[in-house]
Amino acid sequence: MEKKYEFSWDLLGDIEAGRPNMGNTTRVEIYRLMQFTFRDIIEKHVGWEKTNEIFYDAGQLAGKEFYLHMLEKTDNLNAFINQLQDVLKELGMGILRIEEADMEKGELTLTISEDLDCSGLPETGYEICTYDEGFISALLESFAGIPFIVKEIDCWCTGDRTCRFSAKAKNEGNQSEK
Amino acid sequence: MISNEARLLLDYLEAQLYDVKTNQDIPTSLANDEGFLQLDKTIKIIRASVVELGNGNLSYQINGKGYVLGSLKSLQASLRNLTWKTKAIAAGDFSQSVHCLGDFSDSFNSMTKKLEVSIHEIKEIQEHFKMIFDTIPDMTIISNIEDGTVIAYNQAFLETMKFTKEELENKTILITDYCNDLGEHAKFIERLKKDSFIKNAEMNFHGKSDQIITGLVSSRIIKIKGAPHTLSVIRDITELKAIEKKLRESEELHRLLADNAADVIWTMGLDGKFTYVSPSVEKLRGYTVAEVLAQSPEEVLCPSSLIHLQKGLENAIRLIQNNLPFKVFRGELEQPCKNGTTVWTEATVSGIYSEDGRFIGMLGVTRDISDRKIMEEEIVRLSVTDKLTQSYNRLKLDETMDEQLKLAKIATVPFSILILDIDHFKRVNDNYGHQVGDRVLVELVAILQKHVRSDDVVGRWGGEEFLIILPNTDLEGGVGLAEKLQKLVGANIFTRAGRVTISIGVAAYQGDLSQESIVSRADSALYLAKKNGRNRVEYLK
Ligand SMILES: [Zn+2]
Repeated sequence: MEKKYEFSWDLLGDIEAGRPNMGNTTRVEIYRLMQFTFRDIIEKHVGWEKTNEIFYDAGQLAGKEFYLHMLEKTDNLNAFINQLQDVLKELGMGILRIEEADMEKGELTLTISEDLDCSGLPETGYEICTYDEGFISALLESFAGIPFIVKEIDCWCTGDRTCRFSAKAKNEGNQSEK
Repeated sequence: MISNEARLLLDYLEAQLYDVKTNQDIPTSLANDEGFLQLDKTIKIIRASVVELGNGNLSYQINGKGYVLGSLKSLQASLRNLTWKTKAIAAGDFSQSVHCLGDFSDSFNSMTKKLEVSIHEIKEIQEHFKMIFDTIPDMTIISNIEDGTVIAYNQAFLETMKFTKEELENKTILITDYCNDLGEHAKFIERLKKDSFIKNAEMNFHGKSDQIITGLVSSRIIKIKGAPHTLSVIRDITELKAIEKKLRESEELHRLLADNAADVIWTMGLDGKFTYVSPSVEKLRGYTVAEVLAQSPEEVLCPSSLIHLQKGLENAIRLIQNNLPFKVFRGELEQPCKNGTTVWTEATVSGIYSEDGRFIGMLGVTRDISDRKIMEEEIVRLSVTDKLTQSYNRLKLDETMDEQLKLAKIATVPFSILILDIDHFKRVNDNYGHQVGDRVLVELVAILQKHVRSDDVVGRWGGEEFLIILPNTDLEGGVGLAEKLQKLVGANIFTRAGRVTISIGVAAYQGDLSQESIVSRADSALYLAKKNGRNRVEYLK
């Protein structure tokens, strides 16, 4: 399989120099336009399930890079969450809230309101925030040093007012199953 | 007007929304309608979710779709998040804040802020308290009043009790383990419970070693988590006690020595006043200590000795003023006694200096030397006394005559001497033996001494010859006394020897330059008396 592009943070470009008048913001429609047209075309090529996988993986890559470039390293869960909350809010990505967090068990429940990807979408009957799932799993893995599986359990698209994610650490048993 | 079916549907929906119990059946006409059953399910979930949320149950799993359910889920998420944040705050993370609950958010956030400030203040106070607690130089402990469990102790406790921090860490320690006398401790607690605080009670403890630690305990009852505890500050006075004891013992020893010494020990200031006198003074002078302490120097010493004291004080003051060391004084002093007699004492006086070298007074030891004085006098007496007759010997006669010769040069009235000899003394010895002869000599001296004047000096000149020196007496006076003595002796009956007579030669001073010249004149007169028939007085004109 031919591959030319390999993402790195630098490749996002010098936005300040490149958009001296337009600035560093765009409209949410434009972001969604790109994401959902991608989804449409990719689904046509590889089907629903494979597309979800692609979006999950892309989210993970984004989460990993985001952690490296936008967050300061810390060992404290609360400090990490606070920082993340602030950054996500500041960047207009959504309002992150923790419902439960048990790092010993490796279980978290968190919600994102006013989500960039899906808040306000018409009800489709299926969860659609697979990109977010991947994004969150990479953030948690980067913080905790162990991989997490993140599943969206409630979504605007399924008629809920907020997206709720359940995160579980992948234990060795799970890993060996893979 | 609505249809009957619509009425049944309305009743059913009303029951779902208004009633506590919903035993209404689904209207039969709709029982198989897929769309209605879906709606019915959602209504029932909404009802159940609202009831659970209303009851405060946040863990209720809300299943289902739709805008209203979504809002309920959002509310539940907010409340769950609030729960999580509250837990985080309780665990000390004050960075948590709430933004999605309207006015409540502000109240919650200001409460968090206030809590943070208060906790910070408490922590600061706690730290200050801990610092103060730890730096109190006296042992400080907090223990449960009932079972004695020590819940806090400071550095001074470890140091005094000789424990290391590690030795006591994570161990249950009981204050009673360190009390020397449990009965004493029990009484202390009893008193503390009654008065709620105790100041400076003396108690004994022991630390790691069995060495006794004496402490001055001040305690107060304080409540910790509702249970009464004692906060005790214990000052270690072990060393102080030891010094005190030593001092007391040494003071007692000194006092004992002073009080029981035969010598009088005293201290005196430079003003000549006693500051201390040992009780033995009463035995020496008859005065009590109190009487002596009140006496002036004139009452303490006889006039001839007073001068020593006055000179001694003057010297001492001069030396002290010039920063010179006090010179130890030793001297013989005559002191008046209460019964009117005097007593000879020997005093040794030295300076007392304070630890920093300041002169603070004089320390004297006064010893009774009456016996020595008597002995000395006896020695002097023996050296001038004739052993047999106890009259003066030749030495005293020589001395007295030399004195008289010196005095005669300036005196208007001269002195005279008598030389007398027992007539035929050889016969007495031959007839009655030497013992009777000796007895005659003794009895003769007794007669002479009895009838001479007090200033006259009677001495044995040699053998049975006696010489009497008569100060302030001319030849006529000397002859008069001689004749009186000659008659008295002649009239006396001597033991065993009976009658004994004497011949006397008299000489008065005539500008003689030596003893020999006056003695030789008296000798010549005696020779003349013998020659003229004995038992008579002669003199040379
Ligand atoms: Zn979603």
